[in-house]
Amino acid sequence: MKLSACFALLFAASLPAAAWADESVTDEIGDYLSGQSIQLGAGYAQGTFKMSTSDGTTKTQITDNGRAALILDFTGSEHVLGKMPMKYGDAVLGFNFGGTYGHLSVDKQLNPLSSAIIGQNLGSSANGNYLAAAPFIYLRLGPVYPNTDSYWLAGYGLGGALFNFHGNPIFYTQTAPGTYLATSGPVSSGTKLFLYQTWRWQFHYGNWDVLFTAKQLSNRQVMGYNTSYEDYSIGFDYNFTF
Amino acid sequence: MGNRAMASCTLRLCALGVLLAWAGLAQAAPQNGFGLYLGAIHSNDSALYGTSRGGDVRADMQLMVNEQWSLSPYLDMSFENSDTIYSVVNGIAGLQARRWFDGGTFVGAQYFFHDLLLRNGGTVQSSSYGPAFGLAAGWEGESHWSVMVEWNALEGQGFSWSSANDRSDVRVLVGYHWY
Repeated sequence: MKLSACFALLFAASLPAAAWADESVTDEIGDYLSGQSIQLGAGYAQGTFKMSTSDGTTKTQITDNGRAALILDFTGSEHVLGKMPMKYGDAVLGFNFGGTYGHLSVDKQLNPLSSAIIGQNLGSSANGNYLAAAPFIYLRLGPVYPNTDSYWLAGYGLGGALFNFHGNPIFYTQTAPGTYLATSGPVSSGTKLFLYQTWRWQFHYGNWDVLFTAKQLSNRQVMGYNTSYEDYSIGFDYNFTF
Repeated sequence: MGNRAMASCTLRLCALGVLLAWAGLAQAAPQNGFGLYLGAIHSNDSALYGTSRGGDVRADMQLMVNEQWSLSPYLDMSFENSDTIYSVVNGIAGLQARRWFDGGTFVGAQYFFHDLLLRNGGTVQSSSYGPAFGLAAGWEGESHWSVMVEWNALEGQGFSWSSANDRSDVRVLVGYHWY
């Protein structure tokens, strides 16, 4: 994947390989992340459901224009790939396994006359659910302040998602420059496996997180259309560790 | 406040920051801490909107690797007016590495992911996004105030997914770190 390659470049550029740390150094954040946890919280998110023909001539995009959203994630224990000592704490290249549940409910149609990100209520909609899991590779730095349980983390996950949906989107086909043919019809899919990608930017303090998250379900054809769902969110959550 | 007024205001802030930083010329080592920056930006995108100017706001976390190196993850938003009918909002999530020298000067390089919204009136005409790289140079005084000049480019040259995006920008930022 292009983005994962970019993240790999980022990690490689950010972590001088010659400076890997002695693993025996006490790492309080590492100890904290050695357990599993469930994140429960709330945020503000925007989801967009997309279908398009392979040549891109016919497509539909329905969004929710932003909504309050539940955060319910599982994070497995941390596996350290490399560690570099910093003035306070460490820079750690690690990975874990994570999972998430999401609900799709969109009814604002993006169309050639609308904003590129804010849709209009034209009677179209799509609803569905997904359950996703992925190994997640990340860079974390911290603590930000000495002797506090605070760190920054950014990473990328690549895995699979079970996704089902149904809806009634409006498809737009460009027939001439500036001219579009709009057609509407039902679409549906039983539970199918989609490619799942997630990106996260997170600041952690105590048991709390502030996080920006992007999730994408893609790489699957349904009824002849390349089908995807994207969700971008900002939120707060609390970690229940066990 | 219009974007030109904001740009003028941020330029004055830059001047104030330079003075404040200069006042703290006696140098102490930079430390870990949260930072906030305000500044001015000048950007160019021949594919989308030509030239634009505006204001920039940034929050970062400065994390010292040792006395010579630091890493700073940051979030940045700029609000710009172009020479055309469009206004531009560009959001960034990035990571900047800095090499520190005696006297509190530094040079840096950053890798970031951005999303550029092109607006006409109240309507977002397009959203173009992708990763990019940039360079920076600056100075942080004992007062914890800092001044930084940053150049970002390379978008639309094989590093970005947005083929219609060919943006480069220069920004001047004045910041303060709490440590």
